Amino acid sequence: MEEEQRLNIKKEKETWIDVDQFDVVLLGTNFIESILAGALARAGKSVLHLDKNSFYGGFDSSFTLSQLATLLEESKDVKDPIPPYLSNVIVTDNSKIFEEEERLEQERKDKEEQEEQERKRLEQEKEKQTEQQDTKDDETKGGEGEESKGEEQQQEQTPIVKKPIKKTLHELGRFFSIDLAPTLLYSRGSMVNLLISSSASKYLEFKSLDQNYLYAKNTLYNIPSTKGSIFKDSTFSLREKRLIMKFIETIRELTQPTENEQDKQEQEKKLEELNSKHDGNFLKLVKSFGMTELVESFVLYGLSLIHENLESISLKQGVESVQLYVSSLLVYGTSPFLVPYYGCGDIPQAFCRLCAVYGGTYVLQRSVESLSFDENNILQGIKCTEGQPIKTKYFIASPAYVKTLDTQNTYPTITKRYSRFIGITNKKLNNTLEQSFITLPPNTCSNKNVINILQLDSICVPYLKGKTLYHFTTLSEGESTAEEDLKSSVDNFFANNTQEATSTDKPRLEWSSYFNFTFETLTNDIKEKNVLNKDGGVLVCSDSPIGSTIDYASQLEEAKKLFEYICPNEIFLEKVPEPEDIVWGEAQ
Amino acid sequence: MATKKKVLLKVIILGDSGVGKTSLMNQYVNKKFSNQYKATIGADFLTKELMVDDRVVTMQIWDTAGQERFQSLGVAFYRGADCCVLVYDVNVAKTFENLDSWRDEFLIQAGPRDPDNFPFVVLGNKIDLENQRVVSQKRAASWCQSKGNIPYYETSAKEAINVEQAFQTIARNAIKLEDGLVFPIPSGIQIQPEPTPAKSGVCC
Repeated sequence: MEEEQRLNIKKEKETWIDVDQFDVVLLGTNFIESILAGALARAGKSVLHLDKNSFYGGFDSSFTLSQLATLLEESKDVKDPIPPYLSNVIVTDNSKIFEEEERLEQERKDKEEQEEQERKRLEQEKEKQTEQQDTKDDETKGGEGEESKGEEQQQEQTPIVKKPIKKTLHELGRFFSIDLAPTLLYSRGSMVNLLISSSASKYLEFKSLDQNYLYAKNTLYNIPSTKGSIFKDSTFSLREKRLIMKFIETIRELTQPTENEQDKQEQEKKLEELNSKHDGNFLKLVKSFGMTELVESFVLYGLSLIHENLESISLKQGVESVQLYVSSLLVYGTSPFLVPYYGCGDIPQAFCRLCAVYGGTYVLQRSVESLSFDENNILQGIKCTEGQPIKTKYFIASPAYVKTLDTQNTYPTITKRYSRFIGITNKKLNNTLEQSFITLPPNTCSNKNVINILQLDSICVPYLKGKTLYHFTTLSEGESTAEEDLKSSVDNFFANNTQEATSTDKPRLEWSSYFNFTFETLTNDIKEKNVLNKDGGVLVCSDSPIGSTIDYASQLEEAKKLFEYICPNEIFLEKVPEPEDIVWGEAQ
Repeated sequence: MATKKKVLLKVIILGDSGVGKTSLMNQYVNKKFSNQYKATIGADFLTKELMVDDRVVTMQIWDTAGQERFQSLGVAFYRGADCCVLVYDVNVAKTFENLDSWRDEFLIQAGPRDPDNFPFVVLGNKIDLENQRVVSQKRAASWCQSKGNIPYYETSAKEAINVEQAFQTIARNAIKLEDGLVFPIPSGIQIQPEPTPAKSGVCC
């Protein structure tokens, strides 16, 4: 008995980490934890980074089709509050039906072709026979045998062409990188800037979106990206175009970077004037332009991408958001947005690698069992799920973890719920460019909140001709399910069967899923005070990957704040020296 | 098809901790060896330009950065690899026995299109400690043969034995893979400090 126990302990200890003291232990590799881990290791802290999952990123992960299907299937009955936790999951897989339809259609065509060939062959033979009969009329012996030999030869000459086996959608599903929570990066946004300044960009590749659209009045409106394209545009009247230009000009005057002190003061004065005129409210500023409904939608939903609680967006926030959009145009492409080539899941991994390069220790599939405190409520250490005790000054995790591990203290958070739809179709939407972003303002498809649609092609297009990936995302209020929130907009764009697809010319949904997820975030108020409340060393970070601004700006800010708390006066993610500049140890 | 385009090859080195992955890279690229074992701090990837059959090739050799210790390398590490180098220590049996799982891990995570023909190269390192050797050349070579004739080299990062030759083979086989792809995955945009504007006449 004892011997067995001792053996078990020994076996367990083989998986233990060789160090039992770290400056910081992080649990979960969501976006914020990962950036933070990179920054802390870069600043010289010893970091242990754990994740209960076998993959990086939690909510901020990207999956192949089969991985996603498994995750969705598993989340149907698991009630595990560990990111990524999904609810109200519905999966519709029509790919087999369509593949069978296509196969039958192909068979029918092949058969027709074969019959046609057979008919031609018979005709030729008939001609040959009559010729033969004409020339060799008197020859009777051996003729039959020769003829049958000839037939054999002909059969050998036209062997049945082996067509390459058509691969199914699921077999090719690894050429999709599907984000649970897709997020767009402004070309000049804070995330892109950080990737560059921290050197983490070397681990990533991007694609630039081709075009942004606004869907209103049953029409997809191009959101123009240049002065020229605004004037060439035929959907807006001349008056509307002038209004758009006037609005953008106003924003530009307020935000144009300048070195000149006088100009700066001038800008500030103007902003203050506008602020007092419109009660510091962005919506009021927009309304003051006297725009048509369409132009107003264009400005509010097309140019500014802060869509949650539109009424309460401050004038400064709104102006900055439009400025960010405009300044990000034509940097890498016509759209202001970049997306990671293999999905957003590569961003947390880039920062985790940075952390590892600076000595951070990574253990996936390992969690934390308990926290230990001293009599003054100061964190002493943690215990891993493998039983290993580890001393640490700081423990950082998302609210779901912290709440279960530290029941002595309260961590107030707010929850945000999102409805998501992911679909793969046989082709893209008519009259759109391949990689597109479409905004649906409220009440366009009986939707309460803005719906963001992302249209992407696969990683290797030639393999998956036409196959297009769609993401629908909207903030969900109350208890409505993803299907309830999104079905009418999905049905508006896509067909569910071949018949409907043929009659409407809509893309056909081959595989699709609806699901909800809930993020726990920290309110602004808490961010200022309570999160960093615990001199005890337990810090909470939001799991929200989708900020209200599309970009990762709010998450970055949170990561930075937590960093500054642990490492005051240190540089946040200082640039990494080039490999050539690293001095290696001398040979002995 | 004669391609004149610049060839960039991504090579990743896998194997248990302490078998000498970083040392091999460092010996090959920097011609340096350090006896001090640092569990890979600061090693990221090293690049080296070399000639393969009259072609200039830039080889990017990616280190595991210590994330291999608890089998915690993320899928992003494996993306776009043109060749996978498996390293073991000829003096430690376990490191050889684990080659199987490293190979499997690579095939699962990287998901190469033609797993049977993906170029691996196996390196049996630390042959300079000859009297401590436990894995015979025969045993290693027969494993390599059973996995589709993987090229095998016995190396010493310390004494620079066979390192140059091994990496030549690595580069050659990686190129073969790149050239053979009918539909290579196009490379994405690299973001940089001051990108040149796509077009002139920036709006507003």
